[in-house]
Amino acid sequence: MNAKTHSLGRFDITVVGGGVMGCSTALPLARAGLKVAVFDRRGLGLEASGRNAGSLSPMIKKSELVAHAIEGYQMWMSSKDWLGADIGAHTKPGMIVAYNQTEAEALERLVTDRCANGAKIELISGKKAIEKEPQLSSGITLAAYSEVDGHGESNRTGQVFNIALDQAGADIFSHCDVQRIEDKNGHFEIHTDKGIAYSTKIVLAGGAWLEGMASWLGFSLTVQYKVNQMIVTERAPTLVRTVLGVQNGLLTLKQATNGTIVIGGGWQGHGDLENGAWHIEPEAVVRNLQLARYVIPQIKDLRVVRTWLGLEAVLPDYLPAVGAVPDVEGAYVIGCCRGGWAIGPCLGSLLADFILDRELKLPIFDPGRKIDAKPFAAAGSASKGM
Amino acid sequence: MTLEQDLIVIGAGPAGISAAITASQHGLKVTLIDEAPIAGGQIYRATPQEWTPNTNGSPDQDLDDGNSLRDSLSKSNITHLTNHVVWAVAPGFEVRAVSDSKEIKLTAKKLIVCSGVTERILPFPGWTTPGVIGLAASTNLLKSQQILPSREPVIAGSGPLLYAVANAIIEAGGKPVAIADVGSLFDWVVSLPKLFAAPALLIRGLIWRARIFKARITVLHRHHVARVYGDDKVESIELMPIDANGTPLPKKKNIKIKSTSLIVGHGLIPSLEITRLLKAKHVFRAERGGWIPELDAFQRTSVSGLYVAGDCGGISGAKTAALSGTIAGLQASFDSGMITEKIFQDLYAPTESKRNKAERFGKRMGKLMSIRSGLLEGLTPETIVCRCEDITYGQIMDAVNAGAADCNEVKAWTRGGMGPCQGRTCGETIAEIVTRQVGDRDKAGFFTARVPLRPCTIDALAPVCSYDDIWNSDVAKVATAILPAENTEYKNSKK
Ligand SMILES: Cc1cc2nc3c(=O)[nH]c(=O)nc-3n(C[C@H](O)[C@H](O)[C@H](O)COP(=O)(O)OP(=O)(O)OC[C@H]3O[C@@H](n4cnc5c(N)ncnc54)[C@H](O)[C@@H]3O)c2cc1C
Ligand SMILES: Cc1cc2nc3c(=O)[nH]c(=O)nc-3n(C[C@H](O)[C@H](O)[C@H](O)COP(=O)(O)OP(=O)(O)OC[C@H]3O[C@@H](n4cnc5c(N)ncnc54)[C@H](O)[C@@H]3O)c2cc1C
Repeated sequence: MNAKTHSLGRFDITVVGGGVMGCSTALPLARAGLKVAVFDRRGLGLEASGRNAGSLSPMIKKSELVAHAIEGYQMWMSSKDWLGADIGAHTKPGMIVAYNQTEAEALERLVTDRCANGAKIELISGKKAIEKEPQLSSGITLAAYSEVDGHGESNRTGQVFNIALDQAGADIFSHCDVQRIEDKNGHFEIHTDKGIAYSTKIVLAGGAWLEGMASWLGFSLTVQYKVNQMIVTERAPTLVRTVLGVQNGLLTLKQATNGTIVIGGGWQGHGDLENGAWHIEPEAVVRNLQLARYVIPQIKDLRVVRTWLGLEAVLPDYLPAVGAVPDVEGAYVIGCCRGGWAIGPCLGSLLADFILDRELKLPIFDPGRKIDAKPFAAAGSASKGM
Repeated sequence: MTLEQDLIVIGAGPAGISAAITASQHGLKVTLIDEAPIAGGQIYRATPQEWTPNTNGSPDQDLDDGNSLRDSLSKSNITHLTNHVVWAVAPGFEVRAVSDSKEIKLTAKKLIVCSGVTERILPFPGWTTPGVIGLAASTNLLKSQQILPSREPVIAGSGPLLYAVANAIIEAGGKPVAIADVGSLFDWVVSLPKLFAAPALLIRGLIWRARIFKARITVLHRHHVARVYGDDKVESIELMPIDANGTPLPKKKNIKIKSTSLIVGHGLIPSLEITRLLKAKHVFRAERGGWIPELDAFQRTSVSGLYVAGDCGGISGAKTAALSGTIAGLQASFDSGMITEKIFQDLYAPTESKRNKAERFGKRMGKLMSIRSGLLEGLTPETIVCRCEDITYGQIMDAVNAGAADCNEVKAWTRGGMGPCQGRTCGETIAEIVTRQVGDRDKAGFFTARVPLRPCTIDALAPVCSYDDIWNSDVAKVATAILPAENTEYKNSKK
């Protein structure tokens, strides 16, 4: 079998990259009766989509994304209905705490902004916060609280989509590295290490690797990435009830259904596009844990059993790319969304609707837009993130 | 606290001690680090006589060897950190360790990994019942704590440890009810020519067999545990005949034996968490214990400055471990510019030939313990495979049948291997199950190594500090705050 000539088949549409973005685009397309192929050089959902913290937190997303985030949240909550499998998503209240005046002011701005965009979050006192989350340390100046938050078992993303896509009749090519795509005016040739696939349309969904993929089609997209690391403890009796964060960033903490406590917050490990996310920064594990125990002192006696990390991609304006590749008929892009696991199912179904020429329930995000590098860096507006 | 060294050696077994002493003799500033309270590693704290070449076969020889190594160590300028668990290793090299609630950071340009082996225990119905213990664990009980794990156990599994443990139990006044050896007598016999490379060991092995024979202990060759009966303690053990590959032979009769204890182990596997973390190249060699780091004749891995010595470079016994440690120490000294090429060659040549000779015997032993895939055929869907997360064989098979095509995919789908032991116990089993589906161990891959290398409390890793201290740390400055994202720099994917 010669990979240079071996045909992998002809498809109506080929999705390159089997994370949450690619898979949730592929599924409605396959169900609509198209002949769909999904390629991933590893397995489905083994990169960011299977390694993230699983927070759903729809209320604190960037303003333009709050509606999408609420839709994504509802989709994960009801994944049994549309995906055929429960991803273990649970509703839990969300809470963000502030420990000093600066943090409190920033938190207030965040809440005002998000509420203006349809989010339901309330500001509560430190005392109230401790009533809701008794294990919190004292010294909280202000907290933001929302009934609508939650998390799911994102490690199972690949599994649930694998089964659903298979049932929908899509062809899954895992462990198949796509090396380039040729635009043959009317169809695309997808060259992989296992052979060539021929496809009428193409969706690029390569996560952190999207920039390179876009360049195959001559489309220039500036993708940036972070190497986020996560920490998990052994199982413990119920200690924490909310999806917890600290205003000044750098901590997300929640207790999973199995009792383990999942700790993250955007602390950086090491990795690059060639090697992927490959080793943690021990000092950042230590600091992340110090912050975690500062907020929930009781966790100190728990044992840390594992850390891991993944590449999280964004565009310089922190909004995703979902839509058509400019000037390349039949080519689409999806990805680069902060909080992209939570929002992914919504963005995927929107892109599928767009490709199928159906009416869009929510706006999509033109990949060809002029992307301003730092629109939110204005002093004092730090809390406008995500 | 950061300690800067020329060389860090992880693991103070025969390999690590020899490596550290050699490098220190040539002028390197060395730290040797081990989680155990005293130096010596597995063999000089556990029983292991059958493997230890010595002239008269007396059991005290191990102790003597261990003491002389410890003695040279204490006379050296090596910084020897005992009771320190290495929880993380990063390229460059950075080694992080915890002891008594204190966390330390060591750095060095060169790192020699001598982390030894882990016992392989393949599951069978009932293997998680209290009263089932590992061969290696019972060796430790017997030797370092002088505890008899059980007076009348059934002993099952593969490799020389079976007879070592049986023998130790007889010596201590117990009497194993039966020994079920996965290997056949023939397997031992074909090994003889290689075993003659170390006649003293061979004789010791034969003495043990004679003693077991004299004690009229039933030895069942080509038998594996079919099932353990009992709910919260072992009541009886059913043994079944198997073929050379470990596959059950249903036409032959099983044997049920009453006993409250089963001691079981299926060989040793190199402990590779550290070389995997550092992305050294690995190759699969069943007869060396499974996956091993790719090493050249000088104990160098594919990563510059990283060396491996001892059994974690491939099962080969204590004697080889010490010699390979010496070579690694020599090479690290040469690579650090401490000795000339001439001196290096003069010292290397004789050590190399001794190592190669010792290796012949060690490799044979390794082969007797190599995995036989048929041993998993007696599993039922309800049999637990990952005991940390309670994941059954049925669940693993469901994932594999639904398309999970490598170990990490099975781990993500099922949580198998995600518990406190980090897949040290179930990793081999899951890899074998996946291999049946995808063809070979290369395709099946292995669990990505994760830190901490051992579970550690948050208290030990992250001592209390002030809120401001956290924010002022360098690592906080490069973190992506989850909320104020826009202010933090992302790496541009453009090189
Ligand atoms: C540690 C961490 C924590 C996070 N926490 C959260 C959270 O709590 N909540 C939340 O909503 N989001 C979170 N995120 C973000 C979220 O995970 C991502 O936004 C989302 O998963 C991105 O999905 P994706 O499909 O675009 O990318 P990915 O999941 O990375 O998928 C891209 C796929 O493309 C494949 N690929 C790449 N190149 C090729 C090629 N040449 N050929 C074939 N295949 C290729 C890769 O193998 C990969 O599977 C977190 C991210 C990380 C890293
Ligand atoms: C129970 C048992 C019995 C054995 N019996 C024999 C025998 O009879 N004859 C024989 O030749 N061989 C025997 N072996 C194999 C034996 O391990 C080797 O032959 C020999 O001890 C190899 O030496 P080493 O230096 O490579 O590793 P070891 O002696 O195993 O030393 C490795 C050291 O690394 C330390 N270590 C590993 N990871 C960490 C970490 N993260 N942090 C801190 N320290 C760490 C361990 O504490 C250990 O002391 C036995 C092994 C076991 C497990």
